[in-house]
Amino acid sequence: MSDDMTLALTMFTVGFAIVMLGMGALVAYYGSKKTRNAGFAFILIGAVATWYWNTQSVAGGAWAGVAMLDSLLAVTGGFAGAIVGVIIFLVAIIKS
Amino acid sequence: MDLTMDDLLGSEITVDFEFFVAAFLFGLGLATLGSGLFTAYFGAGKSQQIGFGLIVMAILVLGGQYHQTYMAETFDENSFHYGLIAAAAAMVGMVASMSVVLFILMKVDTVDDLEDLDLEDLEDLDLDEELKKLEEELADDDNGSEDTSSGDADEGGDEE
Repeated sequence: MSDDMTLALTMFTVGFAIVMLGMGALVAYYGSKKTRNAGFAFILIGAVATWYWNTQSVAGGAWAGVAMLDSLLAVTGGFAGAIVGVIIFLVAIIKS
Repeated sequence: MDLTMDDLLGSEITVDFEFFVAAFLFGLGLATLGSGLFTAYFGAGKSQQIGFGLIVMAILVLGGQYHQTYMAETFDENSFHYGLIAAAAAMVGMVASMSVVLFILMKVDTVDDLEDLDLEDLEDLDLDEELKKLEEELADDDNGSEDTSSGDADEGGDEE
């Protein structure tokens, strides 16, 4: 597998796990009855994704070569840039 | 642009902030370009001008980044390449996760809502009886208005 594909798979798994854990926590906390159970299921899926990433990356699996900190910095930078762009747009529209 | 965490946190991890800067500029450029295109197309008057301004800004940001990466080589080409792949892949992963959550919630939540409904109230309702009451009220209203209008006509007739 090429380096690009390895990096893409790693970051896909990380993004998937983060959102699944976050949404699972929200749904489990605010939901009721079946929705709450679904929230716990989301947390479980997120935990499995995190465990898989851990075995492949941190524990020295196939994704061990990926520079996680740099990749996470890139993801953070991309989101920060997008948020700043949207804020600029909103300020310009609201001020006009 | 390499900084060691030794200066910040006292650890030995080396962080390449070029990934952050490259992805930040690209994200800023894309968001500004998208919002600018949207505003320029759907806006009118001042809003449309703001949209064109945002497009110009986006072109400047993206063009500046292209120049700094591929011509002036201030940024490392590989940092930009890998940063872009990492950010795009993470975003796809987040969207996929959100889709799974929404799909499951939509399937589960409808049953939850039905269980929350108080069906006893609905069973107690006699729809025929309610309909009759409504018809009677409407008929009373009509009779009342006819009486008043005929009364007015009679009064007018007396005056003549």
